[in-house]
Amino acid sequence: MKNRIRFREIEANRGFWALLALMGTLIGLAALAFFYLKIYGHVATGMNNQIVWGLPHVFAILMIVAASGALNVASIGSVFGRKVYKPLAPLSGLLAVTLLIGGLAVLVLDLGRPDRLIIAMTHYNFKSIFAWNIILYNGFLVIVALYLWTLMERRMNRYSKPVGLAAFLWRLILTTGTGSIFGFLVARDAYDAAILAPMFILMSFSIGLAVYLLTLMAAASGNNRPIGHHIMNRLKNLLGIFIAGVLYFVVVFHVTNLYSEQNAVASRFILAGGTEHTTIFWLVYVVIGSLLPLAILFAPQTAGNPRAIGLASVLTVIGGAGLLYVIIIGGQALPLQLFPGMEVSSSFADGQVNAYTPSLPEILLGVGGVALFVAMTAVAMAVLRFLPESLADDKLDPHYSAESTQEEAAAKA
Amino acid sequence: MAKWGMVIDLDKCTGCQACTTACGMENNTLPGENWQDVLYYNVGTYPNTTMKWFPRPCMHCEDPSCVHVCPTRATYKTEDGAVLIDWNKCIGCKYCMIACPYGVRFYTDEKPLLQPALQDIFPSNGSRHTWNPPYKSPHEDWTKGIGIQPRGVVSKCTFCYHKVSRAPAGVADLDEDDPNTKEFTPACVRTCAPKARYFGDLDNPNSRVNKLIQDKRGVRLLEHTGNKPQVYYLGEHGTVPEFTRPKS
Repeated sequence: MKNRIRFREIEANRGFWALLALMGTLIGLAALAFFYLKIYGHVATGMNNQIVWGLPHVFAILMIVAASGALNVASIGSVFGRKVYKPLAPLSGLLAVTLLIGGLAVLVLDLGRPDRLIIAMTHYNFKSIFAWNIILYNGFLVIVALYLWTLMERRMNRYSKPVGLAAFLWRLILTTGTGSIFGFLVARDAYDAAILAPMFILMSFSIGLAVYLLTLMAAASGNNRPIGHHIMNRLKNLLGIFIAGVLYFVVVFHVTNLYSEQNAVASRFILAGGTEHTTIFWLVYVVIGSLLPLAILFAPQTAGNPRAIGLASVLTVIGGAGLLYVIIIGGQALPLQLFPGMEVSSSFADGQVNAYTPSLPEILLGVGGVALFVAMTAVAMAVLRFLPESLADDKLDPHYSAESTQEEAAAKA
Repeated sequence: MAKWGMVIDLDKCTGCQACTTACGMENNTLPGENWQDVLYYNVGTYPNTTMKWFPRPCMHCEDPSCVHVCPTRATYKTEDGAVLIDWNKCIGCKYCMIACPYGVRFYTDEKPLLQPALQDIFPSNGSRHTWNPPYKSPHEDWTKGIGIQPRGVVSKCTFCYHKVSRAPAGVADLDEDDPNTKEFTPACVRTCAPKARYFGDLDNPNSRVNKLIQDKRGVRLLEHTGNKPQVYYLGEHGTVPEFTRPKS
C-alpha cells in the first residue's frame, strides 16, 4: 500500500501568537522608521553622497538572495527527482515568496520616492539591469505561486516538474541579475567583475538553505513534529557544500582582483585596509560565517546534532549578511580612482575612505522587513498546509526503513 | 543639431573655484551639492611634490553609464548631447550615483555641509523643493532637472541647459566675449577668470573646441570605462599621466 503523506497546518498556540505579536511590533517600528525617514529625508540615515546604498539595501538583498535559495529543497525534489525532498517542497516555495516580499518591501521603502513605484512599473529601460530585476522579481513571485499550486493541489501535481524546472531556471536568472547589479558596474573597482553573478547564486544557495533549515526546525519544535536524522543529515551536508562553494568563489574573486593593479586596490582595501570592512570580512564572514559553521556541520562531535545544525544555519545567515555588507557598503567606501596612485581631495570627499554608520531608523527598517517575512510565513503555515504531519524519516522517505535495515545488516555482517 | 561639449585648459585653470560658486548661484544648489567642483591632488613623492587641480563638471558622456542603468529612463541624453534628469520620473534608487565613474551626481536631501544649514534658514515651507532660496532660477523645468531640486531625487550639472538650449541654431561656439552668444553660455564658462573653459559644438569642425582638442591634443578622463566624455582637458603641465589620448 502506498504511504500517503499528510500535510497539516501548524498550531496557533501561545508561542505562535507571541511570535506574531513580536513581529507585529517590529513591523510597526519599521513603519514609524519609514515615515520618519520620509519626513526628514536621508539626513536621518547614515547614508551620504558617497555611500548611497546603506544597511536597508543589505537587508533587502540578503532576503532577495535568500528567497532564491530557499527554493533549493523544492528544486531538488521536482527538478532532480529526489523524492525524499518532495514533502518539504511546499515550505520551500512559501519561504521563497515571503522572503522576496520582505526584501522588496525594504528595497521599495528605502527609495527616495517610493510613491513613484508605478513609474518603475511602467517606464522600463531595458538596458538597465535594475529594470530587468523588477521583471525578474515579479515573475518569480508569479512562477513560485504557480509552483506552489502544482505542489499543493493534488490534481495539479503532474505539472510540478515542468513548473518546478521553470522556477529553477528563473531563480538562477534572478540571482544572476542581482549579482549583475554590481558586476556590471565598471565605475567601481570593488564591483566590475563577472564572477559576482555566480557568486551570488552560490550565496543564495547557502543563505536560502540556512533560512529554510531554521524555519523548518522552528516549526517542527513548536508543533512537536521531530525531524528525522536522515533528512537533517542530508540537508546539513548540502548546506556545508554551499558554504564551502561561496568561500571558494570569494577566494577566486579576490585572487583574480589581486592580479590586476586596478582591481587590486579594491581587494587590498577589503582584505587588508584596516577599516571595519576588513574586520567584518575576516571575522564575520570568513571565521563566524564560513569556517565555524563548516566545522560545526562536519566535526564528529557536533555533526548531526539538530541544535548544532541550527547554530550553523544562524552563523551562515550572519556570515552572508557580513559578506553582503562588505560587498555593498565596502564597495562604496572605497573612493573612486579618478587619478590612480595619487592623493585626491575636494569639497565632495574625493579621495577619502567614505564612512558609514547605520542609523536607528535604517536598522528598524531592515529588521521590519525580516519581521514581515517571519510574520507572513507563520500566518501562511497556520492557515494552509505547508508542512507534513510528521517529519520523521520513515514518513518522508518510504525507502528509508528498508535502506536503514539493510545498512544495519551490512554493518553487522 | 549641435553636440555640445566643453574644453578645460588645465594650464590656464588657477583652481579658484569661481566656476563652482557660479554654478551654485545659477542652479540654486545647496553647499556640498557641487555640480561643478575642483579636485586637488598631489603628484610626486615627498619632498618633491606638486599640488595640482582639476575642475570636474558632469562629463555629459557620449555613452553614459548613468543613462544605461536608470531603470525608469529618468536620466536621458538629449539630441544635442546633454545628459539630463527628469525629476518627475526619478524614483531615487541612486543606481546612477553608483554607476557614474566620475562621482558627479548628488542626492538632494543629504546632510547639510555647513551650519547653520541653508535649508533651515530658507525652509521650503511644505513645498516639494528642498529649500526656498531668496534668488530662484526663473527657468525651472523638472523634466530637465533644472531649478531648485525636489526631495528624494538625484541631481547633477545640466551644462546650464536652460541657457544652452536657447542658443541660435548653427552657432559653433558659445562665448562670453561674443555678444550674440553670451547669454547662452554656461555659468561656469562665463565666470572663469583666466578663460580656461570653452564651450561649443563638437560636431562642427570649425568650432574652437574642436580645434583646441585637435591642436592641443585634448584628452578625456577615465577613457577605459567607455563612457566617452564630452568634456576634454588640455594642458601639458596639468595633464594627468594616466589620461589616454584620443585616436583621431
